[in-house]
Amino acid sequence: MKIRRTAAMVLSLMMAASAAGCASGSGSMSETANLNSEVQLQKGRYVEKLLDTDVLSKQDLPCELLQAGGKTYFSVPGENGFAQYTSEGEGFVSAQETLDPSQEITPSKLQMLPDGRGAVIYYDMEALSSQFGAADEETEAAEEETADTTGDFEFSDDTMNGIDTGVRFKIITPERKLMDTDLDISEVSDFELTEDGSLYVTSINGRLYKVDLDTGKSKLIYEDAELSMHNIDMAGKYAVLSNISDDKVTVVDTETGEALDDTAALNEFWKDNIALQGMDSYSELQAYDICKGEEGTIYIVCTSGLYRYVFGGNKVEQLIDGSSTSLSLTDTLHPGPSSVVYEGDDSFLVNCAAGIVRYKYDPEAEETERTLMKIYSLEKSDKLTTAISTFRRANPDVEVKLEIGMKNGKTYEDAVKELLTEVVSDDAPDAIVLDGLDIDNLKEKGLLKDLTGYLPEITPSEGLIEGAALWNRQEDGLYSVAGSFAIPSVACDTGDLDKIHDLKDTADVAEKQQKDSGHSINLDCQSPRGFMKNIIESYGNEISDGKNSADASKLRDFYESCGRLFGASGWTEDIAGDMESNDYISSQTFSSLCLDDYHLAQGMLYNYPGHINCITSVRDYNEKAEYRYGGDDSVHAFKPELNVGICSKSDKTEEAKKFLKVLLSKENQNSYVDTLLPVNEESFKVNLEDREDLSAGSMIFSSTGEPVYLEYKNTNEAEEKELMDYIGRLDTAVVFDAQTEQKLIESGAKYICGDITLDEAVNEVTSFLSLRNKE
Amino acid sequence: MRGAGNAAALDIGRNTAPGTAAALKKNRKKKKTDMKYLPFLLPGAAGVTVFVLLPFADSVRRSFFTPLGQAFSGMENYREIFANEAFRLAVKNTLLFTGVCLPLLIGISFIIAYMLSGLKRVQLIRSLLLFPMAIPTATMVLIWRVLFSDHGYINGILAAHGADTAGFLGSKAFWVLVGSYIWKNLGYTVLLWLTGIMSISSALSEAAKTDGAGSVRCLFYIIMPNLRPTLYTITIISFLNSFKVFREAYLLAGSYPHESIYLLQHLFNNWFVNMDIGKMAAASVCVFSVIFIAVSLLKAVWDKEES
Repeated sequence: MKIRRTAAMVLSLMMAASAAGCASGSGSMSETANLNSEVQLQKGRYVEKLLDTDVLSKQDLPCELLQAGGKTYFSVPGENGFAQYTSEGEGFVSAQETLDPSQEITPSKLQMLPDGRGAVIYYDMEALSSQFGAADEETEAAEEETADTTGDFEFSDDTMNGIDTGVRFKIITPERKLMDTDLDISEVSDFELTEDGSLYVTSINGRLYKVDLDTGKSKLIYEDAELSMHNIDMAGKYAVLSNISDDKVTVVDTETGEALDDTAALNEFWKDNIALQGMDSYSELQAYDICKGEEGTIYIVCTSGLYRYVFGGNKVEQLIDGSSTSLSLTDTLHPGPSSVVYEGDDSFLVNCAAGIVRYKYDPEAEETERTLMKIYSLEKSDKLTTAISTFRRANPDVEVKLEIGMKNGKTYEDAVKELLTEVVSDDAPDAIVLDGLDIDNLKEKGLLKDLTGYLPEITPSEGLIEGAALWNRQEDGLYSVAGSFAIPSVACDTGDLDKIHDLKDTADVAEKQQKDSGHSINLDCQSPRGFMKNIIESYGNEISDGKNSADASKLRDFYESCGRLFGASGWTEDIAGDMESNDYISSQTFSSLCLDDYHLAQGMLYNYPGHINCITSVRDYNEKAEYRYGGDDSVHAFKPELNVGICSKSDKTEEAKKFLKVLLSKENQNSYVDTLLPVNEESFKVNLEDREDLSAGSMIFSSTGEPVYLEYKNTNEAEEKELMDYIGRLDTAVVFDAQTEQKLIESGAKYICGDITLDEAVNEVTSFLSLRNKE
Repeated sequence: MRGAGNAAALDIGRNTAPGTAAALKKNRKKKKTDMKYLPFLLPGAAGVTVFVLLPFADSVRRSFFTPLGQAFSGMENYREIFANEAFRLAVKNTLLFTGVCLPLLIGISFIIAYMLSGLKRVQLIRSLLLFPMAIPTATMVLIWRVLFSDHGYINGILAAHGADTAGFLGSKAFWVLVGSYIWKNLGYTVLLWLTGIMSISSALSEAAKTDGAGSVRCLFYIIMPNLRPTLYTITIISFLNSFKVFREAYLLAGSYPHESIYLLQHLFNNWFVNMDIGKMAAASVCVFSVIFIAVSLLKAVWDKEES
């Protein structure tokens, strides 16, 4: 009995200890946090160094690096040739090379060995057009249908299996001649050269070939139909086959032709860090690369860092944390580091958004004392990560921890609850990205600091486009500043544009045009939800009550017009994607207007070269067409983006202020002018200049289904003045919190698809708003 | 005799005195021994204190402060919640729900239990009765959705027969939720009733039958009076369970459902999301008070009847 009692006592004490352990556990967690926020001194780390890449233009960078004979090479394709870069000291030297002039090709990927042999993937527009045309005819014949008026092309099974287009995948001889291989160009998905002069190719139908660089003959090494459109990275005798939309990688031993079985750790890493399936949206799409390391080792680089994996090992080890380096930098051209090579001796070269960067381990380097600043954002954004990277470079003593609320399937509610939990437990973020959050509510609850007093410190000397950056300035203060913005626009035949004053008029014109032309207008609808998102962003001012919410009384007209506009677009489920891009613009429709194929286009303009130049090109290409900024001409509407505030509970206000300063600075805003409309006045004006490196265009399909490449023309002075005039008079911010926006999109999408009636859609939203207002 | 008797009594008394002292000493020792259970209570008590009492005390404190706890606001949060339309709607719906569900559940489950109690092999169906409790709420809600959504199975049948479809998750959502609650809790409640009925001594019923009582009189005069403790337990459990129906309502129609199924927990959830911590804390204190008073009243009534 005594023993039993003693045992019971011991057990109860253990339970009590575990309960106490919980408490001390939380204590230790906060201690860790304190440690993180104060001193992290440790010897030995990888030191980052940006190599001299002045010779490169930004568009040249996403090229594959090749390590051979102790040097690093990369080739930048150009018209009928390429520039070959070779590492030299702490930089690269380049040489312009011309390919066989008798064959007019436009290389898209090119790699060259030091001995002059190489391989090239290229566009042959003529051949591709004929291929598309042939496939289109086949589809038409098979389905006995008339010409596809929407101009959409569908790949037939034959196309996917690799039609014999007669155009061969080519290798390059040391004399710069192009030699045909026995592989069809349409079949090739990716290729990689190895140091020993071997060429490996993956095909769109899941085959891995080894191609003889002297004869052009291919040998099938491995085949798996599931490995369609995979990229290839060679690591010695191993070929690593991967595709960002696949949740696993396949490692093939090229000597035996067998796939390795024991790659569970690699696959798990892949799924968690790179594969698109693990991501919440396409905005999280990222670049990555894999290279050969020491025997049986590979290195993997992506935005989250640089990793080492030993084949057969049970762990993928992180060598460099990407979050505090240039690896995390992203922009439109570089959704992350695109290439890595191991130079040996703990040194890597990485091709990323910052340029070509060397990471070399320095056993004597010490971590500097760092302060931890927390930045919270509901969703991940390239613009934000770019701003953080710029901030890190300017403030190496500040460690930034970025918290993304809606990740790993978390809903808006989950994310906000987590944020609030942090706030009430005195672990609040220092800066908060307010996009999607209810800014007025947060201000009312006292979570945001008034930034009015900080304005002199954070305003850049170049000045701000105040209508956009300081849109949230109210009588009682300024609680957020915007880092960028987007503006709506509409374009159509000149006569019709005069009739368009609001969404209802747009729908009227769309219906009229559909009736007159006999075919649907091309609004490039990826999905009903994408369509609704676009319309809410473009015409949201018509239902916004100015308080981050929607005016129920105006909803009926709004939804009714949406339904008519959507009906005129001729969208069907057959052409549906499920894309609900954050930066949605119907550039296809504006481009189609340039071709005079369709006669109405509308959408949000998020950047200069791709969007503004796209719509201003309408006039250049089609003299009958005209465009206008602003969907609803009664206001100068815009959508502020990257709205950032400082948390009232932050004890790192100085660091948060510095972040705002960097956010609005020329240095930051210049670094991504091709992806947004900057609020920094000087950065905005840089956009207006004729910048060859930012030239853009798009491949569109005409109404007869022919692919056409349309190059956007730069704006002229009159167009710049017109734009600046609109920008200077911005007066109506279209802002909804994520919950309201999702409700508006969801109910609207159900209505335009015919799942519910107009009354039901309006009721759904109004009852939601009514309950919310009552609360 | 008397003297002898007295002497004997005295003897007894004399003998008792040291005996009583020993007994007291023993009792004291026993009490000391009884205190040994306290350390065993410690883990449980610590858990309740840390995870229930302290958070509740913090809620009470927060109910007198501004949302993020920066400033004392007195009774402002209480004033605000009583003036709040959503709070009144949620209280009304919650009371209505409890008022409808409790009698329905108790009545239906008793009838079923009484009927089942006549069966010889009632043990065999006991596990079946617990089946609804074993189904995860998320799965159950999925089934309800398939059945009751606008394009669900039932509306499909109605449409196929030319009848008008109904918005089960709209204006009729309240009754869908009532059905969901009854369905989920019925089996468990029947089981409680059955256990109560089975525990009544068969001798009582047999004696009554011998005295000429029919089954109806047996039900009203033997079985029902003996089921009062069970009724008390069932009422308390069902009452508390009626507050847990939020999971179903939330999964069925989200955080802003049709007004008829907008319950207190929706409001708490949304206040939390909107960072109305002060109002949420004040409302929790009120709700706790109401539940506490209701349970205390029930207990008082029960104790009175028992005595």
